[in-house]
Amino acid sequence: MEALKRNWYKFSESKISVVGLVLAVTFIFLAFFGKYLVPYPEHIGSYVDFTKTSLAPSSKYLCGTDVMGRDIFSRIIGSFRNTLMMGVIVLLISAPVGFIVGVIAGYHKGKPIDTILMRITDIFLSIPPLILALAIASVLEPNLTNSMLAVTVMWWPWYARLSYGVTSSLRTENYIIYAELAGAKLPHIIFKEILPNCLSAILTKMTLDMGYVIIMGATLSFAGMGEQAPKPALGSMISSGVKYMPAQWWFTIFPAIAIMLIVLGFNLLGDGISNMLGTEEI
Amino acid sequence: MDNTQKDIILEVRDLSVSFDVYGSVSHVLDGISFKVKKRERVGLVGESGCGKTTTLKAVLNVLPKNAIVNRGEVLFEGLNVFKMSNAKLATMRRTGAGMIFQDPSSALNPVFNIEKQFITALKYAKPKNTPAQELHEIAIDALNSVMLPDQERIMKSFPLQLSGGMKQRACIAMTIAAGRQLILADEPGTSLDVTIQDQILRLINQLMLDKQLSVVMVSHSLGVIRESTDYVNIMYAGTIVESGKTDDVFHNSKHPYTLALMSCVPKLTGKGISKGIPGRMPDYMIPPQGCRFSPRCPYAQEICHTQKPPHLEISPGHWVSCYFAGEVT
Amino acid sequence: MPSLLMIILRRLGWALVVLLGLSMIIFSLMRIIPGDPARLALGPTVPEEIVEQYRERMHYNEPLPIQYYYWIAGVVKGDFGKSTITNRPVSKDIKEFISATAELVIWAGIMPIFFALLLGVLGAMYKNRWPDYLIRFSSYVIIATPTFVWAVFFLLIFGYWLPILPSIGGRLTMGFSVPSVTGLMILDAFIDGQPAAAWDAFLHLSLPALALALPHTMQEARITRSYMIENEGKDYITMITSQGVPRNVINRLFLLKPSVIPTISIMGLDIASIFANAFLVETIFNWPGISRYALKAILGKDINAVCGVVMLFGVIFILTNILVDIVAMILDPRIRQSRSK
Repeated sequence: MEALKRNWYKFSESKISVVGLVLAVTFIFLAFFGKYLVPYPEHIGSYVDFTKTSLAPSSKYLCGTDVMGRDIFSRIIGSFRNTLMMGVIVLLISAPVGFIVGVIAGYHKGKPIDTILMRITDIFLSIPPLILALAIASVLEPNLTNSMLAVTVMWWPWYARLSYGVTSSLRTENYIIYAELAGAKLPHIIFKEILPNCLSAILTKMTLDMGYVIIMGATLSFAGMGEQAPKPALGSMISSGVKYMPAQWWFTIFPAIAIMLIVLGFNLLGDGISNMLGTEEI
Repeated sequence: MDNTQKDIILEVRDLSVSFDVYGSVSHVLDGISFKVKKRERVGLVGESGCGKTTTLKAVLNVLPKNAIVNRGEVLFEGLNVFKMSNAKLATMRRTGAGMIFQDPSSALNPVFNIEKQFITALKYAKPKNTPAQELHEIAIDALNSVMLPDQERIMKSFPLQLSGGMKQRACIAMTIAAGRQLILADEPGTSLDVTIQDQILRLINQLMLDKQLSVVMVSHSLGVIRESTDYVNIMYAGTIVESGKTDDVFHNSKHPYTLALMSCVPKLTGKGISKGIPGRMPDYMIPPQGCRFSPRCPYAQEICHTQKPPHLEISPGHWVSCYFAGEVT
Repeated sequence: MPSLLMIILRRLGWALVVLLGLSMIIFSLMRIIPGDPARLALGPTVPEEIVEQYRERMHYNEPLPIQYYYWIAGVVKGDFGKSTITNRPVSKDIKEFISATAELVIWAGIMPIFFALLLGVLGAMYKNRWPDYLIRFSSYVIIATPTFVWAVFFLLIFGYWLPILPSIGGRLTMGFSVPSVTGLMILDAFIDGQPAAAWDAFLHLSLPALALALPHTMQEARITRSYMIENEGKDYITMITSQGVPRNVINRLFLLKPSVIPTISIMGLDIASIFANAFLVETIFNWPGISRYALKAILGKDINAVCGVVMLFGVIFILTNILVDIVAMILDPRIRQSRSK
């Protein structure tokens, strides 16, 4: 109980971390339950009503309507689900994969497998992330799954590098050597000894990464690679709205603000968690 | 000021320092008082965590940002370091008193070589416009006096290129090169190999005697203190429990804690190894109301737990902070 | 410690290996796309025999490793093949477009470095007072906003609401003409003695550069600040304070240097990133740069161009990393030592 109180104190030391928590939780909540709460749920998806096309924001349509007459506010909230899913899936896959690669390489530091694994990691890291993601996404069919795949492929090396760093420094710690001498097999060492030490760094990174993955996803969908019309995606809403600027500014501004708030929330949250766990800034 | 006053280079009076730790307050120092005369070597003995380093940092007014000085004064040559003007404080730090840190590896800036750190510090300690050449020579001389060979190479070296002993010697050189009169040595050999530790301590001893400096030597090793101090203060949990001439305190210990400490030292002619002192240091967040040693003291009475014991001079120059001093053996 | 030169050579050796691996990956990727590359290149109306001749000449019928060999042999000579979109040698395309992006990188990546350091230091110095809060708040908001969103914002604000800065129309207003010497238009304008053109080019550059610069500059500022704060509590700062060295000397020198070194490593990565991530900004502002070219190549499945461009970015990334590492090694002996292991 005391530990919980102290952790909360550390976390809320910076008031804005709490703001981040609120924003992130709101986002997650809306991702799950948004479609039951929005004023025009049927607008998420294919819906056309040209009588209501391109209306400016009003009390009836909080963010206005788009060219097809759909309520932008509902569509923004409706896009949260896929946005969240992309973030979660990408991280849930890339973090463990990266972790395994990094740990194995770090554990066998100096041996050939270390060099091979880390060189492969380096290759992936040497490509500017966006270009790699784009290249992959463009080779494949443009849809949500493939853009998630592309981002995942690009993301795991960072976790590999992180885990590699922690593992190689832990490698020489005595308790690892004792565990080996006692006959512990590699999986046991990885999960019981090494993982707990990496965990706080990985968790912090995952929270901070959530924001960046979302930005990456938005960038991909801006370039036309993510979720296709008529399903809403924040990036594609912005890109299709650009040509209507400045007259119908609400096409682009509101999705942009939405992205900003979501990413802001996760960034602040990540900061707070990093304070709480006492990890260094990466 | 009478003669005895002029003789005193450092006086700590009833110093009480707390720290703000994540909203809670840790009351570390509770009424520390001691004096250091010119050319006197004073020891500050205590277990890890009893507040020795905090006391030293208070003397130079380099306490961490979350430190709160509740009450008390630290008088260097008669002036209170907490109330000094910035100029006086700077002068004190540059040519008055200096500190040798416990861990030379962390006390030296890793991205600058010795020369840069040394000369920069010297620049401010010596009169303005002292030519660089002269500063350089002073530094080389200092390095020589701490028995470091190959001084030019050392000047150009980075801390990571030097061994622990060399780094500590370099730090010592920096502290004395400026001509400071009071040296605060915070466990100067602790982070080093035992043999190196011995060398460093002998070196410090020799330098202090040669240059007739005053020293506050902090240590948790009784042997070190015995050899290198004239006067000693025994510290426990932020309070001074006994103080006096080193011989007196060592052979005629009066405080239960001091007695326990002395018995912990294995002796060649010994009666075996002692049992140690049961219990642990108090939690500084909720320190005992009375004597801070009372929870562990085998002789503690009701009054010990509730009221702070007075400072009694049981023989000339020998002070004890205990209700039952003199009755305990 | 081995000499700097040895360390650099070793790094370059590894870089070559990494580049080789990269080339294999990207090559395989591009050859996997469904569709007939020869058809794609020549179009649907060309008769089959000609297409078959083309296939022979381009070695498309051969096994993958052979194709790779031919391609690499060309690459080493600087020949990436022909672009199916522009119908020119890819190397020529690259030469033409890279200088535009290079100029952006200089203004968006390198110039803001000082600004980032300044903000970081200010934030640390005024920790928890209003300047710090202001800087931190704005940096949170700025970092959370993707670059392309900034680009769109700027387009809206400066392009239409307050049209003080040109937003479309490339690097120079019509009517100005600047002979290309370095490829960096502002510099070239000065060399040619046309300060008015230089100013115009600068104005055109400012919006895309700002959009690109914002997120990473604020991130660098945040990191600098946090390292400054962390290092403040270190023993070596306590020691030098206890020696009476003036506060401002400590801040400007002894505290700054150790705090800045990790930031510099990040800056290097950021600069390299801008090269690649500039594509959205270049598209939005119609800037004739290499990233926009890359985007078109990827979307248009222009195999040769994509390979060429990805290799280029890879080289840039790797070289920048090495450069940044060198700088870090010069500044920090601990890094020098760990690299030499």
